[in-house]
Amino acid sequence: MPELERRRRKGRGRNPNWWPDEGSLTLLQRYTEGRLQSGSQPAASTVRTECDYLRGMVFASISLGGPTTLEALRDDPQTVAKILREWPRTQGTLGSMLAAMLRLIDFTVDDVPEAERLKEQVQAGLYPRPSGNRSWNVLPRTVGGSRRVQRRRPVLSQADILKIVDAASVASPDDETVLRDRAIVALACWSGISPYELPTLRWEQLLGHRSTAEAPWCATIHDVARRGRLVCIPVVEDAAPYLRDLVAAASTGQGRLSGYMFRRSRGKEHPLTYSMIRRIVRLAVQNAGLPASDDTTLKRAYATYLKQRGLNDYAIRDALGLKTMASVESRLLQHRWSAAQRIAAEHHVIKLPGPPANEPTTLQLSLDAGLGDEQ
Amino acid sequence: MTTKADETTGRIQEAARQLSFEVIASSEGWPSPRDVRRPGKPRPRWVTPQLLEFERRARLAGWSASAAAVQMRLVRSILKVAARQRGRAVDLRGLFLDADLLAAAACDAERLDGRGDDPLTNDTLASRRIAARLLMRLMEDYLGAEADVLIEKFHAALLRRCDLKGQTYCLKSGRPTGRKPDPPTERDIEAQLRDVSACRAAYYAERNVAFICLLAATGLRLGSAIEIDGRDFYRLGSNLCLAVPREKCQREPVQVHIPPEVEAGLVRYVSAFNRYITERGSTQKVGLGVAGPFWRSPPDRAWTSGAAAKMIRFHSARTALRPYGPHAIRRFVAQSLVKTMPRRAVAEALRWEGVATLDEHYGPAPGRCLEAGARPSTVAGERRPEGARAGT
Repeated sequence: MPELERRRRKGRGRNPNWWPDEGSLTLLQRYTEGRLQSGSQPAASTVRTECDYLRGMVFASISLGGPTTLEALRDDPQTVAKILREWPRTQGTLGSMLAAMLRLIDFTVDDVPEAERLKEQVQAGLYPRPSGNRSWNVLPRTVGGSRRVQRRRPVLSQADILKIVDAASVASPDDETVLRDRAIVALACWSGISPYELPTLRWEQLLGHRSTAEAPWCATIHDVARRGRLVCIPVVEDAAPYLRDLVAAASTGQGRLSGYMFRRSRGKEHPLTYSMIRRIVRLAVQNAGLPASDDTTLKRAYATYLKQRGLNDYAIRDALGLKTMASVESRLLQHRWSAAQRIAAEHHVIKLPGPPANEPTTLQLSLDAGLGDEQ
Repeated sequence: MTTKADETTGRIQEAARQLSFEVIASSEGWPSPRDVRRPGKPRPRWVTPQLLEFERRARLAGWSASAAAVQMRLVRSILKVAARQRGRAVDLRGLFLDADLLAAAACDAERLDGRGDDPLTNDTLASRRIAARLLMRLMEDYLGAEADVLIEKFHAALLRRCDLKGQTYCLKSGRPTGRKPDPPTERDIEAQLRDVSACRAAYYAERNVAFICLLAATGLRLGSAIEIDGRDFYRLGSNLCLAVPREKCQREPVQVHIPPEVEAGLVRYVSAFNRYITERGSTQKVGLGVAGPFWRSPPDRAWTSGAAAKMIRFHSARTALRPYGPHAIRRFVAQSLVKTMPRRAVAEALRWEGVATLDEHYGPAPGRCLEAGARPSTVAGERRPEGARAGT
């Protein structure tokens, strides 16, 4: 059975896992080439993300009962506009989808008037955007979506982080993978490296050194490409045992280590993928018994940990590889609020009226506790 | 002869009209709850086609449904005041073309919107001014005059009746924006809780007690607390936490710790509700971590913020000398915390960026801190200790 057909049949349920057909793949290939050769010269990862947006639009179109291929979707501006107005994503995501679709039309529709017509119809179907300088009937257009982030980001303490790192090995199948997964989670929790950067890390980038009271770093990761600049990101000493174990397992006694730091268990030459790294971190959090936490949650906990260790905000900025102090502030804010609210809750106790005497004392917490247990 | 610009404008107008109809009337796909008008709620009789058109254009210009409705209501209140001043009915175009009449109506200190006895404040003038300016901009074709010219005349007429302070206009006869009356005391809250818990109908006592305790312990706003879903509760260690789904001015859910006393109240409510609903033969449940609206009334529907506010006002009227609303509980929390915690920590606990909001709106009013029984705080830097010299 061909690979495409096999993958297509794998989908179950109402919305099957969509896998692009040959025509859509060709269009995506043309898009990638056109984008990489364009004047702005975007990074390959950026173009890959834009292709993901286009694939996401086809998936949305299938869910809304529209065209099922990228080419048909491109030629149906009403459905494109409907997705951009109504698909439940954030405003930023829908805006990027719009930009990607307009570029796709530019790169793949050869007839210029036709391309202009398609783009105009897509724009006409969007919402008018308020503007102080223009009258209401000539307003520019914008996508729908919410500016709010619906995902929950719990405030994790250092004890929670330790639990996560300890639980990293629960889902690992063998000893070698245990060391790798622990090191991945340790780097995610105790350094400013993001999951996007972890797959591309190489041994040559890692430089170990001795930590001091002023600089509690056990290693530094050099030449991390981040938004067009190379940054150097330190790793706090808590991650040292996990990195040391990984180095010991990887070293063959033949000089300096080289190649990717985190490789697949099958096909040793290839690095781990981003989705696999995310899965490892997600399983570690889940096995630690904590609510789902994304990378931002871990980085907020890390920034607060550095603050508690006495580092000033500028040092935290450099440790996280951030550019502005506003980013540092936003990482520390939730923890500060939470700490203040916890203290306030201790100070401020309301006297609750007790339960009535004639009521049963057994309490039902959730659906799991059946009512039959009380009788 | 029509130009290309006219054609484009006409086409955009037509598209906008269609889009407006589609946004407000269509329920396909995933329309935002704000875009869908509640069925079965008829328009008030005073809504004229012109006002309806104004609201529709405000929606098109990006105003939310509720904000557009407020603008329409403000324009209507100006119309009503103008009609009283003139002694006869005034039409919308006539009012907005007569800058003097418009300014006089906007500055009239008497409230005619039936919102209590509070006299008009400077805030109300500002909102009336915004509504008038918005109408001039959006209904330029209906008024038949250029918006900029009308706005300039309106501001000139306003200046004859108001003082210009910075960028805002202050009423000469109006009361400045003042502090709200003193919040309830701890005794008031406790008396209210006792009164609420005396109700023995269904699960309402447990629900109301839990709700008031949640507000009084965490300082949440009513709108944030009422929208809680059962899945928003989770545990971090032994603590119960709540990810408040919609907190004012926050783009993402905010984590709030639930004190054990409040947790006990929540559990009591869950237990009472589930017992009641099972006796009625329904399979619906609420719970900590269970999907679905957490606050219910009646059992199959979410509790509304209006009903919750009404409950708080009703019981406070029975137990306190001065009835208070749900937001007074937040002010009570702020003032209770200020007695024992530094101001900055209180501001952070209530999720404000600085202490300005606390000082201007929530903290004790000037002259209230040294009443009998008030002692200087023990927290360093908060209040000057006794015997210390002024200016040191």
